Amino acid sequence: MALRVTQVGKEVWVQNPSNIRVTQIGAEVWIANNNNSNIRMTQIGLEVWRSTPAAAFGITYQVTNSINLTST
Amino acid sequence: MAWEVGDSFDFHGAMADMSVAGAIWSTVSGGNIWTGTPQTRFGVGVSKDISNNGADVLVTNTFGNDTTIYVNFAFNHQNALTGTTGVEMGFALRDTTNKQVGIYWLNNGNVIVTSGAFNGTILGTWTGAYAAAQWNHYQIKVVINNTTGSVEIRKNGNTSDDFSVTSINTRNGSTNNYANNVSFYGNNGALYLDDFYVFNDQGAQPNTWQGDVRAVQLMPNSDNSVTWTKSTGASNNACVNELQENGDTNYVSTNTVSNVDLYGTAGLSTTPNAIINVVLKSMVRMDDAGPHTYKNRLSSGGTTSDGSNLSLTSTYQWNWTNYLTDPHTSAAWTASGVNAALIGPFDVA
Repeated sequence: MALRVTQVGKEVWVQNPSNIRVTQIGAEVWIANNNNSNIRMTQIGLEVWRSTPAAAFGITYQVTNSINLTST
Repeated sequence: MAWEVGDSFDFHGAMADMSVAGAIWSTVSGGNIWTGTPQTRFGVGVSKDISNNGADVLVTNTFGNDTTIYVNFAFNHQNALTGTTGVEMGFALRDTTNKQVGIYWLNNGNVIVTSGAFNGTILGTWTGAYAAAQWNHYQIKVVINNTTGSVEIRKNGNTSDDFSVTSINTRNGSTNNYANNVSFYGNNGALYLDDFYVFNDQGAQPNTWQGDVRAVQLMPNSDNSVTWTKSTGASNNACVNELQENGDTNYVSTNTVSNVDLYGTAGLSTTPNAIINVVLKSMVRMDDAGPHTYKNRLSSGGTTSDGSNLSLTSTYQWNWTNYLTDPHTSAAWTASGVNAALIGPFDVA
């Protein structure tokens, strides 16, 4: 009968010299948004729905006095 | 200290980073963290999706026993509202484990104040509080008391209350007139939370309404003076300046006591109305046998100010140091002061 060895190896218990590792560093700055800066408007225009033929007798429009802005 | 806890989420590279020692959370679950639009406010940094199937998904570490508490965050309910009275998300202020009072966002656009749990007794209703697919900022002031309790909410930087309810019992969970942690509840999907912080009305600023506040990252972009060893690349600062931490992908290291690096950082892109806090954040570990001790260093105008000593493990952990004022002037930060401040790691032992 042959001998079978399925694994052989060294288990070495060591205490290595050690470094400190820093992977990230930075400043997180909490700021009050500058509400004097800007309001952004990306588009403005009139959409006029008219009957055909092209005689337009008037434009009906609605004005919203104000809206509260979000950051979206 | 008036400042209690805060997390912009911006520095996290994975949701697991929120559970790492040194962060502010005792429970982290629910949806993933996100970058990009519309998941983050202004399309920058990182947000936390607190979606879930009706559970408490985020709980902060315990902070001081506060009677008057300001809870601040930005929130986007990205999915369409379907008009039901179901609770989508919200939070409870807790006395350790007891829910004293809750504020919850419903699927019909209302916000309710409850006796604590999402399905608790309704103490007040703000109708038409919000719409879907919008980032809105909320300042919420809560006074914990069984007869004179109150909740006031200001939206998007308003300088007066958009909603308030007074003379209510806001200590339904216990007989204590205080709360000391925040527990977020999430239900359904795409509930994005950003720029969360909490303070009380005591001591130094912030101690009253702060307006619409966000956190921005200022990361290193130059080596001012370096003694640590870079793992790769041309400069030390480039190994630690990633917006979201990247572990051992690149790092700086040393085993020499008192070695310190100082880095210059990017500057603020605009001059803010006020600077509420500057938090120096680093992620650090030891790479073999300890013990090792570490601290953050900030240098402003030639004045150095160090964070607390941190005992290291072989797993990365956070080291967060609050600088509520400029250590050089002992006054509120200015934009130029923040921009000029140097930051870096210090090997204590």
